[in-house]
Amino acid sequence: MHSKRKQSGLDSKESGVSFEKQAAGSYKRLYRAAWYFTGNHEDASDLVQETFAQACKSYSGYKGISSFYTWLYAIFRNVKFEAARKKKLFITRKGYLQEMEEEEFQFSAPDTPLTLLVRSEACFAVHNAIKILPEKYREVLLLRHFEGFSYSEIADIANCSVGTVKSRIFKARKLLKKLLR
Amino acid sequence: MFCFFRKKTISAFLDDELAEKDRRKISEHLRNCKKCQSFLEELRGNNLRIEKYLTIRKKMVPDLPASGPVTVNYRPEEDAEGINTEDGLSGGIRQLIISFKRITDSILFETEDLNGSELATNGVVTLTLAARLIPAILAALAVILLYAPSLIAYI
Repeated sequence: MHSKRKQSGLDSKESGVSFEKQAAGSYKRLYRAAWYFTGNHEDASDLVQETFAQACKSYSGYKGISSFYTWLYAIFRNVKFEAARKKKLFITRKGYLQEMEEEEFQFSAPDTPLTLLVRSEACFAVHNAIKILPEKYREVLLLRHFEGFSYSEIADIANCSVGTVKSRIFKARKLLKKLLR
Repeated sequence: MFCFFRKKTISAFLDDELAEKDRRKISEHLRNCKKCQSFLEELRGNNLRIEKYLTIRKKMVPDLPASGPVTVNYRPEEDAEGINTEDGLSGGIRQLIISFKRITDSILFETEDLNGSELATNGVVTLTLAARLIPAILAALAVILLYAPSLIAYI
């Protein structure tokens, strides 16, 4: 039975696994997530580096109940919010759309299947629809569809209950259904 | 047919996030309810569109070298000092001192802690930290100058 309470997730510690080993398996995936939000290598690297730095400092507090990547992503989420708050990254609606247009420009020369897909109307429709979603709905939707986290992992990352995750994902999809018609 | 199930439960069913008992109930209901079937199919279609778009976005991420942005020489105990995660004046001064020390040690004692690019990076970091601290130092000086005559008179 899925509990509506947020899992505290703190019981036994995973022993004998160094931080470096854990980190090595996660950096590429985290970098991909950071690149999605920033659209460029420099800012993505900054976010990833800062996340690993904070994770290293608090590694002794990682008890091993949730997966290492789930725990790391929760730290990444805070780092991302903090960076946006300090305006180190210009995560605005306009900036996000500009990022998409720039990517399109980068791929404008060769007509590969990927570039044709990027330029397709369907792709832009989904891109714009996701962009319009309120932040709390967009976040859980991306955690589910981009990262593939389960509802309980999303609840751990977003610091809310599984019921809230279920509700937000549903509302995100309901909104998208209207926008994509 | 009257649908007991809320649409958000159907959404969770699509994600395979229901307990076994609820999943069986919904499956049974979906066999007989056209309205809920249609809702499920519409949700499924939109999910596919989202995932197709996100798959493209993932493919756009440039390849990283095998070692990635976290280098093999990553030393947590050093980075605990070296990474500027501390806010505030004391944290900034501490980082400035650490950066100066690393640069001078590398130049004077030819330690292998820093190579050429790291020296340049640390130099930039040091200057950046100094620039950040200047307003705080100026403010402190202003306060001292403002209150110094009163303090001297008092003494």
